[in-house]
Amino acid sequence: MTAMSTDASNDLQMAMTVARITQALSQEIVLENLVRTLLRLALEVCGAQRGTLITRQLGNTLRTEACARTGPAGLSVQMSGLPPAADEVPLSLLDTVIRSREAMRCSIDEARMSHADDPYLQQALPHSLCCLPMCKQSEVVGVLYLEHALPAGDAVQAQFALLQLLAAQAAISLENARQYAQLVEENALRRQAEQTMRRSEEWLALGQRISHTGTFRFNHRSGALDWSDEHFRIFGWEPGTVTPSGKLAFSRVHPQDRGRFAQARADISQRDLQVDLEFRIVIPERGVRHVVARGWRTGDEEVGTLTDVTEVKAAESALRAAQSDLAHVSRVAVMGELATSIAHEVNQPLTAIVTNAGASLRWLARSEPNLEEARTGLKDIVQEGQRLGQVIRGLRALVKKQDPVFAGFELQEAIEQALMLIRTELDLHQVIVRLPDPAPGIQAYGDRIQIQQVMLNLMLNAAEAMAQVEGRPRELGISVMAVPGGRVQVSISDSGPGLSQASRDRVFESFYSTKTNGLGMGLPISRALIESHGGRIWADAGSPHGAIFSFELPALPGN
Amino acid sequence: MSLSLYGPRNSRLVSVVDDDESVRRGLCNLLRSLGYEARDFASGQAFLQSPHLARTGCLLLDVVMSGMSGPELQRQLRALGKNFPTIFITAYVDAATEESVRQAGAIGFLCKPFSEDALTVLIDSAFAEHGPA
Repeated sequence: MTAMSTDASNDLQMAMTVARITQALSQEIVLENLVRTLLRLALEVCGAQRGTLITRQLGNTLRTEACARTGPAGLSVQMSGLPPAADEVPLSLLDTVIRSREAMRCSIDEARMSHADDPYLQQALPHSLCCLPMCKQSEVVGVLYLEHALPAGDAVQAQFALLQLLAAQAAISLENARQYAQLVEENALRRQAEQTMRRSEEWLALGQRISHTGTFRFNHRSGALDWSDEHFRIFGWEPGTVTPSGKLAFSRVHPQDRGRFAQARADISQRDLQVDLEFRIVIPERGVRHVVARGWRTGDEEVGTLTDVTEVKAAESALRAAQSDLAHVSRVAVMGELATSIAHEVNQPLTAIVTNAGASLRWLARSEPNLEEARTGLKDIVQEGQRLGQVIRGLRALVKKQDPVFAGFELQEAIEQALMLIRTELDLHQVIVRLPDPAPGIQAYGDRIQIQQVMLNLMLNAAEAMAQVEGRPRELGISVMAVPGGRVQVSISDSGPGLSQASRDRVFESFYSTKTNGLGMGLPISRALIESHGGRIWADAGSPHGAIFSFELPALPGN
Repeated sequence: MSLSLYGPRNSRLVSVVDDDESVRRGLCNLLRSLGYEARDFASGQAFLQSPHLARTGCLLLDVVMSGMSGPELQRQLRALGKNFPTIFITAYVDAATEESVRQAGAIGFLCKPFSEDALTVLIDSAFAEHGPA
């Protein structure tokens, strides 16, 4: 505490302190710094040992901003942020000050008398205390509470006046700081929101880029058309290098698809109608792209997506080609295994031809030629030649490598042709074939060769499964039927040992075989072929013996 | 001279057992043009039940047939004491089968399609050795 010799020097010192306080407080805009400065100044001005700054929050709750203490090492300030506790400050006294909006300065004994019930005041405390409200207009925004050792006196009177000035200035600065803090927080929130939005926009753009999907939006009222970046790229333009327009897009639609494209545009402008369209885009120097568009209109707004499916289509087509190759290889392999049986099928008509030819020559070479017998023989030769031709054609079709041809074909006829190739094989295994009741007119839709391949696989498997059967007939049953929903079903049963439930579930997996010498590819290939026809294949237990393999295919529409 | 083991002395009957109709027709046509009487049967059972069994002087027999196979019919005929000359004809070449049917007494084993000469040589020998002089 500085000794003051005269009133004049007192006044000067006072004026300087006021200037210092005002300057210091007005410089601080960050709340924490302001609180520290405020407490430091307050403790300095009145030489207090302890000081607490409390603010009033929304809903009139109190919050201790910070506590300051003068110790041997100087001044220390501790930030808090918690509600004031009853063992930290005299809560009832604070309450009085807040309600009266008047500063209080008293000795500890006076305080104990006026607030007898306050638990804080029962502790051992310094000699004096003061409590100042910080008012902004008529509202109390905080309280400054100080404790100091010196007795109250004239010198202290001046300090108290200074403190009141400080409190008034502090109220303004606190409010400024609080508003500033709020502004900072709002800024941070806005930045965060902007960042979140930017990030989700980036995600969206990335997603569009990865999935090759663009979006478009057209407002029927304003005529405004927006394309996403990916939409530009799908049509072959760098984003933003051209102005989106229906005309511009139309100019890159494949000429053969323009009619459908225009129709789809017209359809989309109807409300509540989703329109899907697959079409091609021709981009100079990049060639033809396949795209799928989907659009609909809600209110005045028409929105939609556009996906480049060129790669997907190429992959699908490569897969189909690979599958077709595999099916072909497997067919040729089966033909190889059947070579002896097939030779049998060729040799039979050849034998008939050779014998009839020899006979006819003899009938004609007689001194009295028997023309009738010769003619009969020659007719048979013609017929057998045709039969031979059929066998060869059937064989060539199975062995020839060609893309699948989807068309309607008679199931019964296909089965009979397939059986022709393996008749000898079945005879060798002493297998009796139970043919379906003649069901002419049941037509499947698909590639006849591939379906015959499946039939061959299933029939040969059945024959093989029955190779060890003794004591009961080895029966190969074939049935054909139309199934509701425009489908046809073929079932091939055997009287072999049958398959366990576990095997039935797995026989269609690659390299799974119940045969000792089987590669385990026949059924997986069969399944792939049937599924590529939009059909399904499955295995059941036969009754009382054996297994039943069935497959279902689309029927020829309108059949 | 005693009666031939293989049928009546005057028999020129060749029976054909094959499950392929066109092969049967062709063979019968050829046999008739060669001056033989020919009868054809679609299965071993049909032949066993036929009244022509007893008159048969030579048998042309297919190996692989649905139902009873050629070698099986050969066994049953032997069991019945019918040992007429038998020529196997097959479109299914199989050395093991040839060996076993020859062991069982077959006089020939022809692979379809066979030459006319090969067939006539065998049939002629069948009737020369066992048939009427």
